[in-house]
Amino acid sequence: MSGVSGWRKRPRGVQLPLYHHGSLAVWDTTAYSRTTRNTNTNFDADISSNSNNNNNNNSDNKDSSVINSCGSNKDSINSCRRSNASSNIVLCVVLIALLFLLQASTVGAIDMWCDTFVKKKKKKKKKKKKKKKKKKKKKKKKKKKKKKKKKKKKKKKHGHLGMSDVLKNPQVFILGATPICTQLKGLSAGQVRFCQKFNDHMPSIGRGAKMAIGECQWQFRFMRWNCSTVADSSVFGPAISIASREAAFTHAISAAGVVHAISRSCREGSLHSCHCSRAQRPRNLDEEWIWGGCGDNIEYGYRFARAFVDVREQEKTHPRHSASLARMLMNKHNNEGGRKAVYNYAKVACKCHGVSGSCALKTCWQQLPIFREIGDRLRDRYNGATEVRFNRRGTRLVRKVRKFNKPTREDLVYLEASPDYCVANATTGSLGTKGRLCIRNGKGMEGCDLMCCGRGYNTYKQKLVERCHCKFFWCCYVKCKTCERIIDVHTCK
Amino acid sequence: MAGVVLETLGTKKLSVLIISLLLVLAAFFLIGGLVSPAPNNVIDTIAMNCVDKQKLWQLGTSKPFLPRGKNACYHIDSLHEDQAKKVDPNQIVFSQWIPFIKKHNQLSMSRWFQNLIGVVDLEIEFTSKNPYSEEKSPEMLLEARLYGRFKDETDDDWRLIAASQERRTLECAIENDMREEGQRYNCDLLPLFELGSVYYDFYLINVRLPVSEKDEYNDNIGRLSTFKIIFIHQNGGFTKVWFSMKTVLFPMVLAALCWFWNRVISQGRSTNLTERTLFSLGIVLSVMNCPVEWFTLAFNLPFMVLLNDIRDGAFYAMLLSFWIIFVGEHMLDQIERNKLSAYWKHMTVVLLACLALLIFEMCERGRQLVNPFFSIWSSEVGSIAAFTFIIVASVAACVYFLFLCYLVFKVFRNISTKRTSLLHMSTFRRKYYSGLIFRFKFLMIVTLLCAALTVIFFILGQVSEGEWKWGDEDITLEYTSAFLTGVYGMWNVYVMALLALYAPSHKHFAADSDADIDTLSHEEEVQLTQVPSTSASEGSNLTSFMAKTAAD
Repeated sequence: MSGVSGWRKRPRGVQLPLYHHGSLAVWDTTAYSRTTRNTNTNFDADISSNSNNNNNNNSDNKDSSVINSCGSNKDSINSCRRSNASSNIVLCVVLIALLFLLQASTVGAIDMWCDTFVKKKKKKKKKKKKKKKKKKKKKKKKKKKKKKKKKKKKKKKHGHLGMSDVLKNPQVFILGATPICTQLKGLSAGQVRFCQKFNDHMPSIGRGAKMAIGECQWQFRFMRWNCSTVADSSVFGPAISIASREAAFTHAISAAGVVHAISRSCREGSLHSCHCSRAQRPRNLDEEWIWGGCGDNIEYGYRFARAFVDVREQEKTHPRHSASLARMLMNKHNNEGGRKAVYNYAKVACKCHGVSGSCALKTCWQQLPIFREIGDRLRDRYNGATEVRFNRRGTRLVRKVRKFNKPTREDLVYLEASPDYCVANATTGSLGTKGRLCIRNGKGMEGCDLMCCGRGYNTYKQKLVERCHCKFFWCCYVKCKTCERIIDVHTCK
Repeated sequence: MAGVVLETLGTKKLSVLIISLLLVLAAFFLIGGLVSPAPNNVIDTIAMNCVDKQKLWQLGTSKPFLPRGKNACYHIDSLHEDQAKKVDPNQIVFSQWIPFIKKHNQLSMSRWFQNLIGVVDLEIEFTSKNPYSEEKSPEMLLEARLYGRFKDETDDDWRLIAASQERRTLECAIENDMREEGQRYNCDLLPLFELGSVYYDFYLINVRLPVSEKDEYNDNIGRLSTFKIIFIHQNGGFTKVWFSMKTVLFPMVLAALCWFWNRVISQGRSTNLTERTLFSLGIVLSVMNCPVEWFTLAFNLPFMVLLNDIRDGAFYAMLLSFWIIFVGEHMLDQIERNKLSAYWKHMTVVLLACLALLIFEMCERGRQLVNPFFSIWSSEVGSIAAFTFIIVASVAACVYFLFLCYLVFKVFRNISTKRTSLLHMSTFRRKYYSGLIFRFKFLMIVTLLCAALTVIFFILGQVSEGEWKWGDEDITLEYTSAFLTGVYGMWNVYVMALLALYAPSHKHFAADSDADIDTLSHEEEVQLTQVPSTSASEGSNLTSFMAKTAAD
């Protein structure tokens, strides 16, 4: 691994959170519908960005998204344009966000990962970990002040054009990956190395990040904090810079997204390094294809995500009792929680095929859980997240209230209580709920009483243009008529 | 006849023999568990959503759509309406090429893999706008093409192995509390194809789900989000272990068989039914053991799977018949049997069961030789027929076991009645009877042990697979392989033991008896030795003994 030394000096990616205040489109149950409004400019931005991302063809892309999200209603054109512009930025930001979320790492991690992956010798791993711990302790003292300075610098940087190109056109990565990896903002030094070595994985990581954001927004669509993304490299905004439950959730869901997407790509055959993960092959490893074949891609996805995501956290050493150490430990724990939410809940499917099709032979394999299921699980964990603090020595996190159960590896932990997100506040990252849609008689958080924090709400009449009487096939081709109706919309004051 | 080896063998020798056989058995089990990998491997894939832009497929060309490589097709990531808006579902071709790339090397299939099964797993998303029709399971039409090519060929050389239009019924379900956008149905797997040989290095599968406004098929299947194709093949390592086992066992059983038959012939009398049945059991086992599979490494022999199934079936049919005949021949009553026609009822049942399974097998596997995509379960008539065959076979099997149990019960009843009169018999006769009883009991115990082991291992396998833990623990013992090799080895050892122990013995009972009985036994033996009658039918020595007892 030559030429590694310079990387540590390279400024790390921009990590500033932004907060975008928006909500998902209102989906009508009977037909496609999209609300069109003059007032809320941010509306739809997320969705249109999602729909845009995957297309290779940029020009087609724009056209379709305009038609798509705006329909024929003239009123909506303005908002559509804005949403397009912001969507592009969001696109760029998505990948960075993910990388950002999963902060910090050591350079040797890739090699370690590769070694452990092939050999899977647990003893060796343990030894290496021990060594690392020792090293960390030595380095911790000096770096505290430097870090703070760096962070401030980072906040000012906004350069992610390269990223947006990549997200829109994943081919770039495959053809000439190496230069792009170093230009990517938001990658840590260790992650740049990963990017160079496993450049075909990067589109999958982007896909995972998008999936994670989409799921996060779905899970929190009725909450005051609605996981809205911002046109900034930090994606989730300052809400994440507080070590709150929300930060815990975003870390977990992003890590889960990477596991899910990598595992999926393995199955598509689009990754060149999906290993055969079941370690114990008789004698000769080269023969493993004949001996066992390659399967179990979830394990690969899990291991890759662990290496790639946690690399950030391991890049720096932190002094004892420092806030940065606490945050690092929290992030690592929550990343693991997210990965486990995918890895531990894989389902097993089986096929019988014996003599005459009897069940004398049964072959089983793992199936990835649906991402919605993972989101639901993490949402549960979010609700039951444990507040933690340093232990006396300042090296580990322990639960704050002894009465509560010890957090397991699958649980989420947080350090600080969340702000109430009622009123906009730049320091906490809260955008407030002003202008948010709410449901008039809703009993839960989506109800106007709770959502608007008692400030009351405005009611508009709104013309809804939707597709109706559709003829669907199993994919793609939909024949619809357009219908219009007028509905009442409530927004918080 | 002076009894069989089993009776004349000393206790010491017998125990040594039994222990060594048990050790051999354990060795078979361990070979499977430690040396061999799992018997089958799964390549779990997600098909690429290729887009047939020029509608080549619909125009009738058989150009393959490649999921990757230089000539990769144009594909879309997601099948959702927003992304695939301008695409007609008729244009989408699901495509996958196995095996995958690993460490930048295109892996290749190996002929050691023996067979390849393809299964389709559809991910159907719940949407209230486009629901899956739950009242009536929708019928699907899959247009599938399977291509193969060798390593040193180019993408132009993909050879069409099979092309077919297949109908399958899609069975899906969803729980009520899961009914929200984005959740998925639990769908049954759809069988796609079965290949009896892995002759090519690469396989490529293309599937299309055509729709039309007129026809019903592929309608109401809901919103398809992912088309997964799961490939299952035998593991090369397992094949190697399996082949070596067969290759080693084949000459061993053959040698035992020859020795046994020599023994029988050297007796200088006509053979009896038990001996002949045992001999045919040995022959059928040798046929099953015969490692003709080696040819699959050089030639394309897709019928090998069918052949193996038939050979297995023949062996089990023979084994079942052997048990019936053996028990019948040890009945200890006065009825003369010793000919096959006496067992016609039992044999009919066995034959019926085997015939039903054979017909089913020929319908499914035989048809797959022509069209690998064929599945007997996909059509209504076919599945009814298949069920009929299976039900006939299982009813026949039940009847068989009733017969067998009845016969065994009768033998035990006879034994208990004989036991009282046994004391009053002359030494020689008593010895003979106790020999018969011992022979029978020994076989009963061994057979029950083997059958019980098979059943127990099978159940253990089924149970442990349900609770299969993936990942964290390193499982060193491959249970399924151990089960397969263990059971295979066990029945081989069983037959070999029978051949060795139930061969006619050289030793005479007289050798170790007292001098005064010697004359008697000699005299009796002369009487008892079979004299071929004019009708060529042989009276069993058992029957003559019975007559003798009666006279006494």
